[in-house]
Amino acid sequence: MAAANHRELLRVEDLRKHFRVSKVGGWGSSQLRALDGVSFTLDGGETLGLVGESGCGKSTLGRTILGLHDATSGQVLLKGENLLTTRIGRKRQHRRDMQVVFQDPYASLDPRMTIFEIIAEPLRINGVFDRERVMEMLACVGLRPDSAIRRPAEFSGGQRQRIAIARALALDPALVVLDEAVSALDVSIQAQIVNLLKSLQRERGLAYLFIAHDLSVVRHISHRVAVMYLGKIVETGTRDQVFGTALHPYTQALLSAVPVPDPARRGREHRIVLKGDLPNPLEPPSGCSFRTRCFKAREICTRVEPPLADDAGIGHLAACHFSAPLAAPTDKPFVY
Amino acid sequence: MSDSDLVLSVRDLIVEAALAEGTVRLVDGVSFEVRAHEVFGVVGESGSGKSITMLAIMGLLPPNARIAGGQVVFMGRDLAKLNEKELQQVRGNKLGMIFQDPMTSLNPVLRVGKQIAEAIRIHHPRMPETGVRRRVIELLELVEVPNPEQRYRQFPHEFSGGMRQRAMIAMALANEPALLIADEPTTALDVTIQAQIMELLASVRARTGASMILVTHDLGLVAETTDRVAVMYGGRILEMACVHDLFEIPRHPYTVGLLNSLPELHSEDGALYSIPGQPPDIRDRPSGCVFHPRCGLQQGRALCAHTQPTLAAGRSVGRLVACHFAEETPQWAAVAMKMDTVLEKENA
Repeated sequence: MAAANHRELLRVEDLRKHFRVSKVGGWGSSQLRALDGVSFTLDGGETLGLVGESGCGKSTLGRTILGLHDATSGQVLLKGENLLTTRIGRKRQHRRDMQVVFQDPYASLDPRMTIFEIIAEPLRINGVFDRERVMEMLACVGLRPDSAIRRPAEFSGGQRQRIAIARALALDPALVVLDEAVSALDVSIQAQIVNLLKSLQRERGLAYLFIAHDLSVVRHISHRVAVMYLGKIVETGTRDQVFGTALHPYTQALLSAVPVPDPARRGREHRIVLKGDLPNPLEPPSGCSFRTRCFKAREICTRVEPPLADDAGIGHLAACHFSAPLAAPTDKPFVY
Repeated sequence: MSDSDLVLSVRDLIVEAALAEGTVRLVDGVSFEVRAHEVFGVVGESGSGKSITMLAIMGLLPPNARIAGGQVVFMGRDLAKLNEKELQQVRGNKLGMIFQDPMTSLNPVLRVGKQIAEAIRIHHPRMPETGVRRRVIELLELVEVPNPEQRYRQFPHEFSGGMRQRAMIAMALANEPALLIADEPTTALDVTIQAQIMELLASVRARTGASMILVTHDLGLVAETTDRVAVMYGGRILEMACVHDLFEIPRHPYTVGLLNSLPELHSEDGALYSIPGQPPDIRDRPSGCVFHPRCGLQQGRALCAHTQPTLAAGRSVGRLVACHFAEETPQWAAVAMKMDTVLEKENA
């Protein structure tokens, strides 16, 4: 399942997005670092899966890349050009290259527009409206031609997500940000949409930034994976590296927390149950931000923030002082 | 299995709702039993009627819906026949409930401790204030809320999602229920918090001996926590079996499709099997077998389109399947699922 072409499409460098949050009581404000120095690259035709729990900044990252949020600092380079400094006119060209599909297919389609108008809208805005193109898009997401004259209310969740995908692909983008695009769907429908996304990628050489909290789906669709925690990427590598030999304790805990749909394996593997909740993002812990919940934390973790490093030199990066694959399962549970 | 072992017995439950289109049957003849100390899983996709079935059992149906037939026998009493006042004595007492969204299930303007205390006081009106308070602190300790004395005085917004769900569980356990109904208890939570809550539920059940019905769409959770499972679709149970049998040799074509459409963390990839079509519209339920329009096994056979299959015992013990051709399922599944991998190889 090699990527169709290996040219670098997107490069994100040290991207930061800080929000001002007023303090409880209304006096003064504090700074929330939703993105705290995020860097990664994405090739054409490739899928990067972005995982993490709620509040880790994965959606903010997608939105900042798309220009829906203004970045505080850093660079977003699409085909070598920095989107954060380009002129407005050029920006519009770049936006044609980047499209988005959101989670909720009930909220992201205008209920008063026909399906035809919904898919035609991006074409009209860019002055390239073509009736044939709209019908072609309908067909390529597996909807019947007579759907064109109907409105969103007549469609189920899975079908609406097909419409949202057709709209996103109408301008022939190079990159599609899929922000929890299959999360709201039932499994049987989710499988249909995942298969559709994979076949569209093969046909059109699309690159996906696939943002999701469901690790099984991310594993299924991604070529490479990045794991986020409190605004930072804590581990990244190929799909098999991250899912096979996770190096960061957070990734290891995340993977072990996913229920396995096989009763025969019940109790075979030891589950790492993390203590506590995500720390308050307004007051992140000193040193390593994961140390408060980490089963490997030592004294150094409170003082020194670990860099995202490629210890083995194989493109598998982890931000941990003690990064190492999990030892083979033993009979002893983890001791905190 | 003796009858004294039965905690809950639901017989031919029918729930109807009055909608603008007329009367619609949301649950169509559902029967199952929950035994002592058992975890019974109910899986299904949205609209399958799994949550409505639970609301009917608890007597919490929305005003436009009602139980139109059947029995709900809980510890020897038919809940379907009780009036609201009698139901209130059962709910939250021997029948505990945990819902999906802990934010909307808690009252935002009442302190968490007071809300848990209320659950106790309703059923023990004469318990002294200090006794109630002691019991609440004890419950918060049981659900592993740190600093229970301090947490007692806090409001729900000061609790994280996981902590709120712990408070909800404390409330459900307040009167040592015989049966816990947990409807998607971890769906709104992150996976690491889900692991905490499921572990907690297992440990409190071990301590109190309560049975549990776990309603979920997550087949992973079902595989890991339940003893027996019912698969619901279009308001009916299509298959019911012990969890090991169900995952190993699913007998209903829908169960086969559901299990195969799941992307797994450890399995090889390829195209996922996907059940063709859309879930049924309950306002216009298909004739005969409710799954027949999407079924790969029916092959246009008239029986499927005309006659509703009954949930009948198959060859193996304790398994019930509602399919006319359940005997053919394993063979069909082998061919259908293999075909898909072949197709995928051709496309690649």
